[in-house]
Amino acid sequence: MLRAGSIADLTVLVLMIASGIYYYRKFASDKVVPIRRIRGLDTIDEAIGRATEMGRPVHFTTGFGDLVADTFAAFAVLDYVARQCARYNARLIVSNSQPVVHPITENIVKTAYTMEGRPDSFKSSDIRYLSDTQQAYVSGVWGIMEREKVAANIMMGYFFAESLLLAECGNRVGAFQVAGTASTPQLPFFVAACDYTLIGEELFAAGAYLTRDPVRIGAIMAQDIAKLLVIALIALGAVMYTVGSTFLAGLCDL
Amino acid sequence: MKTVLPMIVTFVGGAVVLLDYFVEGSWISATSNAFLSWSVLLAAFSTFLGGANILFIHVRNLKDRRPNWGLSVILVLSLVAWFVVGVVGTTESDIYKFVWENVYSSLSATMFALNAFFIASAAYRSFRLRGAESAILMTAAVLVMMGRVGIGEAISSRLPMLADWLMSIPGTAGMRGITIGGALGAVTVGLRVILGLERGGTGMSV
Repeated sequence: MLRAGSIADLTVLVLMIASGIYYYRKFASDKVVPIRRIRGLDTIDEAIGRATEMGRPVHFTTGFGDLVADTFAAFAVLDYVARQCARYNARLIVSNSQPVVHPITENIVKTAYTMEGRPDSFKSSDIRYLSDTQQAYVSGVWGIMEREKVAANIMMGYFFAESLLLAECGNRVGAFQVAGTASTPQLPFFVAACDYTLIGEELFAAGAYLTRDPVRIGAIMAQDIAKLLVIALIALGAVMYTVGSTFLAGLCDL
Repeated sequence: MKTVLPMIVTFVGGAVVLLDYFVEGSWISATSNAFLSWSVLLAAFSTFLGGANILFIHVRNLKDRRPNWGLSVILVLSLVAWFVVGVVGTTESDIYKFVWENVYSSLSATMFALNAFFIASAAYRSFRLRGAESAILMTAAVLVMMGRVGIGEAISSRLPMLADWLMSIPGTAGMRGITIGGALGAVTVGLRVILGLERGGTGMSV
């Protein structure tokens, strides 16, 4: 039996799955899939190219967040960054704050280097677990950025109060910085301190944008359909509530 | 098998926890709770892996006499000493509490306090007039800042009201838009992970 109050949620979920499958089938045969330009993701190549030219490392971190959706979205970006670093022979340093995230990032980077035919360039000592206490993690990242003089600092995932501390250190060492998070309290800090910032859903679209995989593009389209539905419900709900009807509010509570 | 097994585990684990959100049923709740408890245990175990990684890197720094190897000595000694104090004396011991309160907490507070200075330096850079967007950003920021301090109210009693309006109407509207978009994105990523389309955790290329 369905839980009370979950029917509306289930309806949105089913709609998202159905539209995801529909758009996957639609885009599976298309060679060019329409997706709007995300400047923050385009500049990742520029950041890695800059690091390669300067002979300095690229630094990547997923923030203080645990294994949440933002972190999984960040894994897709890490895979792309690791592949590009392997391709251009740029050194990649990954620092982790969560012990559960650490082995996954190591796996991703190792696989990316192997897929690019450079398994010898992979150094497990460059994938570092620092600390699961916030300020110790920050000081560890500071140390890495200052000592290694990183040329690019890519911060993708779920961030807390460490966001500005990390971004300002990156700025101090002259790193080109790209950040992305869905954590709304931290977004203003990234916008103020980084060169480019992926805001909210842009981070979740990163995997689709970078790989152009039809399955992922289908999922992004499903997300857009749900977003349109939410916008329509907000507009309709505002009008209905203004004229004194609580029908829609009751429908959403089902 | 190396990639299929994690995908099966992810699908079963994710599907049961998701089902528990929608469907009432004692066995579903019990299984979902058991999975969540196991995840806590796995996370605790991974802390040892993390500790091993720290030791591996810094002991190698020491052995190879890499630059700044002296810092690695301090780190390894602190790590081992803190581990011994915690395990032998427990976290309730006087030594543990003393170090926690007088070393760790003080250092953490110092690090966190730096945010105040960094907010100023980041704001200074981003509020420079470089175009229409930065002009809007700077105007809004100046109005909010002036409305939050006494001098602002002394200049005009309407400034605090304007600051409140900026924070509660356009600010909140923007933040809620980002939150809704982010939440839908998180649902999409969650579904992709459960269905094995997002393979970041399996070691396969994502």
